[in-house]
Amino acid sequence: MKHTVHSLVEELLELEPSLRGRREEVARVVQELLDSRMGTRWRPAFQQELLAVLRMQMGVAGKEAPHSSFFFPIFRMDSRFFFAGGGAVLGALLVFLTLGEPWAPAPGSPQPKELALEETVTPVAPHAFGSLAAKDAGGAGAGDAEMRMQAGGGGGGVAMESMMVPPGEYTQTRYVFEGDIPLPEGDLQVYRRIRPDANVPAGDALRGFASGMLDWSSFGPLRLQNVNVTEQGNDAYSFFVDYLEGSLSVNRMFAPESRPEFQCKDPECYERVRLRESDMLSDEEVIRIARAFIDASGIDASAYGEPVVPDDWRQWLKQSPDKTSFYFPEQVNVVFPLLLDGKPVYEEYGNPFGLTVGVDVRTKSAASLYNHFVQRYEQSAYAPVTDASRVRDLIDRGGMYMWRDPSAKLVDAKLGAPQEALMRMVQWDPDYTKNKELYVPALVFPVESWPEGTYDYRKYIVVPLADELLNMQDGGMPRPMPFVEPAAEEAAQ
Amino acid sequence: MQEDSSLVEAFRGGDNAAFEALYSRHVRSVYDFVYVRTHHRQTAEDIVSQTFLQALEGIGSFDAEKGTFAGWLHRIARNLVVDHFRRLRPADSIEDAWDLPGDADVPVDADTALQVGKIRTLLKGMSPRQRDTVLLRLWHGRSFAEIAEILGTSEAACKMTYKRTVEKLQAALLVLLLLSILSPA
Repeated sequence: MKHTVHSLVEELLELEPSLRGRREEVARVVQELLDSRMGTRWRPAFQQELLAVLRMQMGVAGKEAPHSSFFFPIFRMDSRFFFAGGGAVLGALLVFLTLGEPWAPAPGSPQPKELALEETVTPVAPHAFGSLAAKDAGGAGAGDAEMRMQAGGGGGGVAMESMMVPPGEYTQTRYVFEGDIPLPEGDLQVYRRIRPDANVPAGDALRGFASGMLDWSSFGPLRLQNVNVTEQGNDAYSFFVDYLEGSLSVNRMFAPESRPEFQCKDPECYERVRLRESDMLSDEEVIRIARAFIDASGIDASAYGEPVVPDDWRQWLKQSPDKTSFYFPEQVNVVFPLLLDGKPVYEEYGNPFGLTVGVDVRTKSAASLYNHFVQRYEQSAYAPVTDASRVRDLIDRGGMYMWRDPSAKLVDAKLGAPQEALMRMVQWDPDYTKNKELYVPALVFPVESWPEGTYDYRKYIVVPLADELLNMQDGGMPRPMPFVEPAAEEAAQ
Repeated sequence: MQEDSSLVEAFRGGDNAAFEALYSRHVRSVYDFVYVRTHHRQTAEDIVSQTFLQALEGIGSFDAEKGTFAGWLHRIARNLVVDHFRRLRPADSIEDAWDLPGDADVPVDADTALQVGKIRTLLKGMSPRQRDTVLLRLWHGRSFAEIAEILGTSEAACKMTYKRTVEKLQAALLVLLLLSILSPA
């Protein structure tokens, strides 16, 4: 409350009546002090900046959160860089800080869900996931990305197998298993992974973020979908957390000076620096590097089985007509197969599916990690296949979506005894949040010998045991490339 | 307009907007209070930030029957100012920028340094308690009850300190006046 000189003087004289005889002197002192009041260099933007911080704090930590001390080390009086940098720096770091307490709800918000990594399976009604053979069920496209990730040198094996035309004649592989086919007894338990879609309250708290850039209150409720944070320094690891998917992936951001190929400006340079066979690491070495990274990162790998190295590049090298110009992969993957209900998981094409660590050959270090996600599932009963001959037919073709060209010459690959497993398949939806990620009981057959003269390098054949899936006789596999047919037509003419 | 105590209760009940209202109501006065004692904008902003974050975290400890929210807030700020200077100059045991020696390596805003030069002479000879009392009353317009709360003393003691400090200032001002008359322009 502002006071006039007069009122302040009267107040003083009331406090000390002996000063009444010096009223004018007292007034002079009071006036001098009032006139000397210093300006305080108030910065209006500061009020909004701090408000943004407080809103974040209220949104993340709640009113009486014990963890709000997270912020205090940052706001020590000698740490001024936040406000020097403006709201953007502050907002970015506070978003990062929310990772430390992502589950604290904003007052009044629904409680965020626990994202525990341990497997939880919730039984639901039979056939709860709809048709397994839905029209938009992932065929060649669903597993392609994973297939291509494996081999540095080759491409997706499905397309390659049907489209590569060996000199002389067109061949396809017939997979032969001579033993008994163990059929399931009783209903099949199919699993569907549930996206946790964690209700991360940072979305509400972000209303204060960068308040000078946008009026967040003009928009509806906000929620955090994903966060990307990166270490500082060269060759830093970058982490991507997807709150909708419940997944974490890691990528190493190599500095240009760490990669000789980044320095190249001409083909001769690339040729000079590319990897040679002698540079490649043994499977034991890449597994050791992958394990060390997982252990050092504190990643719980208990949901995954013993690691395997999809070394397709070795098969491609073996079959490559010109080994001197063969491209050796810069990164080799190690897959720790997911174990669901104690069974290993495979992709439809036969690749093990699970926690994958990419090992950089040059630096002998982990360069990536993905397929690490929350293990929450529903379980629903589906009808099993009861006719072993239908299973053999699918084995013969090499599993789901493999098309048999009647004009092709068949060459045999021998299969070993099957193991019970689960086949992962994704039914895609234009709204990706409605994609169904299903795990269907299957048999997985190891390939024990490959036919000579083909480009086949598959190690496993996976055959699902759900009756609906075996009904898909022509599962969407594209016919061979058109260039094969005109040649046949020309020959016929 | 809602009383501060009502807003505190509303915030405790889950109404974040209530805390925002308290913040908007008091942030400027807390800032001015801190700036007067630090003479440096960035330092003042840091301390004010800490003040409100501590207030947010410690809102459960505020008791409306023992004092005002404004007083409680300013006391937090004052303690943070004292901590700041004790950390910077542990050997000097100073509580605010007024007592900084002339050669102190502590950031202060240049124009403020010029401005305070005039009154530093008046205020430097006082104790921090005396200085706070006078400035809180004359510059910040706080009541004696609030000053007592901020300084952790009684209202009667505040009034006593205030009137004695003004008397002391009166004498100092007289000396300055004489010096200005005697010194050539």
